[in-house]
Amino acid sequence: MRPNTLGGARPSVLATVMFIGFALYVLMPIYWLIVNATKSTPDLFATFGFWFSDTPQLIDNIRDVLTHDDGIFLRWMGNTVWYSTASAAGATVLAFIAGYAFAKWQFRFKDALFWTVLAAIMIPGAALAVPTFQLLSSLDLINTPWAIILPSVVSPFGLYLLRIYIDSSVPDEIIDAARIDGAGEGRILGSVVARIASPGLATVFLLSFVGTWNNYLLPLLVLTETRLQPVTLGLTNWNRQSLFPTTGSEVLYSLVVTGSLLSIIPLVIAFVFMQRYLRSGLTIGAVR
Amino acid sequence: MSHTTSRPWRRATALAAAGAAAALALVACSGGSDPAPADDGATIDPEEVSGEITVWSWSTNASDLADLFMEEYPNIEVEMVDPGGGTTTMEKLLTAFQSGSGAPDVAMMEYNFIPQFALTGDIIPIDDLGGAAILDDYIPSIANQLTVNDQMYGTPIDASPMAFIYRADILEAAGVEPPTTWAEFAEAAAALQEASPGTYLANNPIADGTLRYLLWQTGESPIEIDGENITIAYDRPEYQEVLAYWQDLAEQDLTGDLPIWSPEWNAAFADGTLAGWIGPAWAPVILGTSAESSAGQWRVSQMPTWEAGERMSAEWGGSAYTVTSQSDNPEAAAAYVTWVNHAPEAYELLYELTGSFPVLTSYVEDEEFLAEPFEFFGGQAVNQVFAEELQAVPGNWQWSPFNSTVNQVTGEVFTDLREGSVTPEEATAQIQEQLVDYAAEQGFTVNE
Amino acid sequence: MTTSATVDTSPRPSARDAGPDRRRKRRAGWWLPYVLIAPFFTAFLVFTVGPLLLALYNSFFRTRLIGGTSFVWFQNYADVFTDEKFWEGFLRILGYGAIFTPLTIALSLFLALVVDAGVVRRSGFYRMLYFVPYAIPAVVATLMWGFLYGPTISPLTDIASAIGLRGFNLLDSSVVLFSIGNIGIWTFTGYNILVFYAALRSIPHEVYEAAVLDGANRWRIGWSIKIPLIKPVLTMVAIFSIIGTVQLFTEPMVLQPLAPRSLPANYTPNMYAYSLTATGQQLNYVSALSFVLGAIVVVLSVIYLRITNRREAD
Repeated sequence: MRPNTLGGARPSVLATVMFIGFALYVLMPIYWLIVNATKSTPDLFATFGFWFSDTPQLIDNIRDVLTHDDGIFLRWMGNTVWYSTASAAGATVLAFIAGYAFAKWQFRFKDALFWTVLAAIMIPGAALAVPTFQLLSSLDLINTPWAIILPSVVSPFGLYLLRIYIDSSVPDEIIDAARIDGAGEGRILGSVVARIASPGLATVFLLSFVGTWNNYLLPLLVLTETRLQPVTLGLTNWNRQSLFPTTGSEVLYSLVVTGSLLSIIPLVIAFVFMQRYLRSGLTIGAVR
Repeated sequence: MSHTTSRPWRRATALAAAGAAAALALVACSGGSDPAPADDGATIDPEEVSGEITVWSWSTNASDLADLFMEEYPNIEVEMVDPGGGTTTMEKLLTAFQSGSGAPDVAMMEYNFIPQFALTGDIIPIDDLGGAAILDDYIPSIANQLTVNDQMYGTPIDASPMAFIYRADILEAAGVEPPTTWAEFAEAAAALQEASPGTYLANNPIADGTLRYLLWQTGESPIEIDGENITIAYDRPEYQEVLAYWQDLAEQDLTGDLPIWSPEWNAAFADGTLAGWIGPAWAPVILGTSAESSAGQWRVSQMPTWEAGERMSAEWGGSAYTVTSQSDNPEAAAAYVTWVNHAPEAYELLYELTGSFPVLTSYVEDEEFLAEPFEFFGGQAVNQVFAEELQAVPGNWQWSPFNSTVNQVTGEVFTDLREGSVTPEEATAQIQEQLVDYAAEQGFTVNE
Repeated sequence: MTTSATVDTSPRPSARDAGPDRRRKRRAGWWLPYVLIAPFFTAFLVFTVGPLLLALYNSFFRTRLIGGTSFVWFQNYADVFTDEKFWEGFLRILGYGAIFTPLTIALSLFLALVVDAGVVRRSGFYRMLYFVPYAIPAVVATLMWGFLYGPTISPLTDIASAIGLRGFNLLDSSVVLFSIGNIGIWTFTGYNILVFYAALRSIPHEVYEAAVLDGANRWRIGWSIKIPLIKPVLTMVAIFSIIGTVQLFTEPMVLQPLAPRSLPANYTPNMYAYSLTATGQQLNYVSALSFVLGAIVVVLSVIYLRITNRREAD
């Protein structure tokens, strides 16, 4: 990579101020979350949002979150990690081998298939709610983890990304050479192409992981009981119970706030850690 | 709450029967025949039912009730599923109903959804499955909400009569008495504002979507279902009066203007901006958290009425257990439904666990229950007030079979009303028109 | 590759030797690509196309409370075209997309260019920080911002009052669209910066050297050289932004209970569709509505691509 400066540029005060300002903007809601996770529900309403209450109770709140409803929160976290990892792994593999085919082969219906994939994601999800349920129900998958994982294994964005990435970063010559060396197609794919394309693979994995983690509508429909829910759905339910109480519900705002904080910690850590892969993985189709 | 001694069923049943007969007479439409009572006259024999059933309930500790049930009915296996709160459960039920699969045997649902699912056939009547025998044991206005086209579609779990819940200390400091009529309410609201500006006697129902309960309180029902006929009567002077009243108070800034249940609304109770709530019997569940700092200062008094000296109330919510048409084992499902909301041991457990307001007439009239003091209300025996309000709920109110449309239409029109772009007369006329059109589209023969 | 006078015994023939033999060996069975795409497309067919076809089928029927289900040809589609509520939400989305998509992209691009120009120290730290919002699920982010927007409990309101601003309400119907847009900006700017920055970093150095020799300053280089060179990335980001914008759902949905008067059920087309199906039972109409919306997105994307391609050709 070429050096970062262009002819010895000096750090600009204006630019630095701007960046600090934007950093504060980014941090503001997160700061709010941290501060308010220490408050009890009544204090949430009674105290100034950007500073602590007189009786911070972070440990109590955390304990409440982890023990509410027989510790369902930890179950939710576990579910979410499982669903996200499994579907990300599946999505990456599927998008990888299909992307390779699109990048390096000519075959009939190639373009039509590709455009069909892109067009399919342009239909908003609301209409697909009941049909998806019907479909999964006929396969007897309702209320199982597979109801989340299998549909999430389809990643059109991943296909698009990997096609372009493999096309631009894996030269035909290397594949040809491997063939001449006697390698079978599977080996070529698995060792040669995969190694070169690994930043792209990491990117698709990460994006798919996040996509499933954040997916809210699909679990809402296909998981009928709360035990199997991912954590975003669980938090939303707690929030809804506070927002639309009916007989038999409770006001759970402080659980929602503290739960939100706990739920984003693993994801943020994972992101920060994986960020270096993301950086190199995104040089796809960048320059013509 | 605790209920110790056994209840004298027969006396209570006789009283309730009289009331129920009156209520059913209001509901029964011409041309229909009264349902024939089931021959057994007792709850279902545990020996006669068996199998596995799935129950969807968002009630806290519903699984404890299921365990108790399984002790009584050892041949039935209950799988208790918590779909996650009222709104979410309704969404999942709707999806399952529309798909034709995936619905449970027993579904918990709020009363206002019963007509809709009864008409689509997604839930089944339980008169002949043990329901008819126990219907009379319930408070008439509750029993009425379970009945569609003279058939009973489930058993009720709880009631939520409405009353005026207020901060005694704030009202006292302002020299204001809890109002018994709406005229007094308007005066009290003004006096309160003057004495302590920025303090409201209540939140405005037009703002927070609870206006339908105040319409209920007038004693006129907007909907009457009779098979394929439906009578829609939203365009009433009584309703216009209610709308005009609250719009007036809103324009004078004498009521709060917050979306209900929002963090802000909760905060308003915490800091005393809202000094009162025309709310349901389960209000303490909410207030107990947001108004924790003022516990002990709250009191309950009757819901203000239009005529001096009378008592009229309405019901805010409440849910029932129903049997779905997708159930493979309706007998077992009905056994659950009729036992869990009726048998003494089950009822005791229910109130201990959830603190909901009872629907069995015998309980509502139980002296110990009525005299129980509540710390949050400074020791006041609030059950007495709520019980009186419950008996004063008009028994003729019917929910429409297209609940969400009604909510959507009224929501929009009331927003316009609040912003002053329609008058109360125009508002009711618009609602009437839109609902009539919708009902006609849906195949009903509409009378107005 | 150079050839020497001696025989080249290297096992790798030059690409110029490609002939019919070469190509035959390359195609290791005509069926291989199909095998490779099979897993993806099987899953795609079952889980994406399947429900789509079912929904399409549904859109030709109508279910009534009295009278059951009947076949109604294109009646539902006709109703969509006369549905005021749908078009109101749709126009709103168009406006939202026209303002916020370019805004988000421009902001991210600008910040990425600044980082690339090397005028901020420790830019890596900032890039990492700005990326964090993307890691936060939309529902949680909107919940957080919801607390920051609620007029009476938000600390922002307290600050605003302290400096004399009365009636500060970010959820008021006149500004709620911007408040929603703000959440989008907060979430995606960092992600877009990363994408753009990565693209900028792969521009070869020679391009800059030429420009510097020509006397171009930093601004001019940014505008005339860097931006055009990363056009494909810009296009990709724009297309996916358009798709995402039209499907706007989570943010207004989560904010709605806080400001029901500002956010009616038809605020965005996706919300409208959801409210019709989740609490009503308008399955058939919703299907037709979704296909109309999808078709519009396809058309918009195609138009956008045509325009950008035409500009490139110029």
